[in-house]
Amino acid sequence: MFGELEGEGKVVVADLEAGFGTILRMREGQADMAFIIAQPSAKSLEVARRALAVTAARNIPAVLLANRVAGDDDLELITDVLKPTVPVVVVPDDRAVAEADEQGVAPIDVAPDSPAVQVIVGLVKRFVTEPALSGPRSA
Amino acid sequence: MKLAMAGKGGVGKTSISGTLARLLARSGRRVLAIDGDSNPNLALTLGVPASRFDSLPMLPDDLLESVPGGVRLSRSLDEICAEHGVQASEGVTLLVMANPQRAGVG
Repeated sequence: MFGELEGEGKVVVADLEAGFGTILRMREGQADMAFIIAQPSAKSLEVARRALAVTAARNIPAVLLANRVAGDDDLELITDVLKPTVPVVVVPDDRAVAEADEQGVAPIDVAPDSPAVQVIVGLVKRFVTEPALSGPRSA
Repeated sequence: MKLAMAGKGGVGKTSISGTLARLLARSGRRVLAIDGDSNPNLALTLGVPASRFDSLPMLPDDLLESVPGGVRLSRSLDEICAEHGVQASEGVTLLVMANPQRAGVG
């Protein structure tokens, strides 16, 4: 269904099913940007590797979000396995986000200044609100 | 503009999706968040109270209709949002593709 949505002035943010099935069914032009999220674990990197291959083959612009990166070793693992040719955004391993998750609350509500949330703030500015991808604002 | 968030389950996809959606709404965009996961909990990150989770509307099966060369929405997106959308924090509209907590409720 995602591919059939026309924005009609909206920004559509789709939290797709886990894995890369929806990406696999996506055709060129059906997403303005795919954010492929990986963490430093073998299984998540394999999913990300396949998703990145599909987005490249379908000419879908992509960004790799390296999540829960606790240090240089984690980032090295991710880049060694994926050898990304797309922009990489590093989201640090952040205790505040983990605690929010445990409490069943949104990180942006309880820890808006946490490092991980601030990286998402930067990501929005860098990839979404810049002119090339900018969408209509509400009145 | 359509943004797709993908990754293995448990990598933080939903937390990032919800945060991204709310930040975009704060920047003045009209944001539609789609929870396409079979274990939907995007509502939580979007600030929807847990007490409402059991009553989140599911999208019906007849939203897509066949046309030559593929499929299309059977109704406008605004109609779908009005009928099945949930208003979340910062004015984000949430559509839930599946809600297992309501499975079997007819």
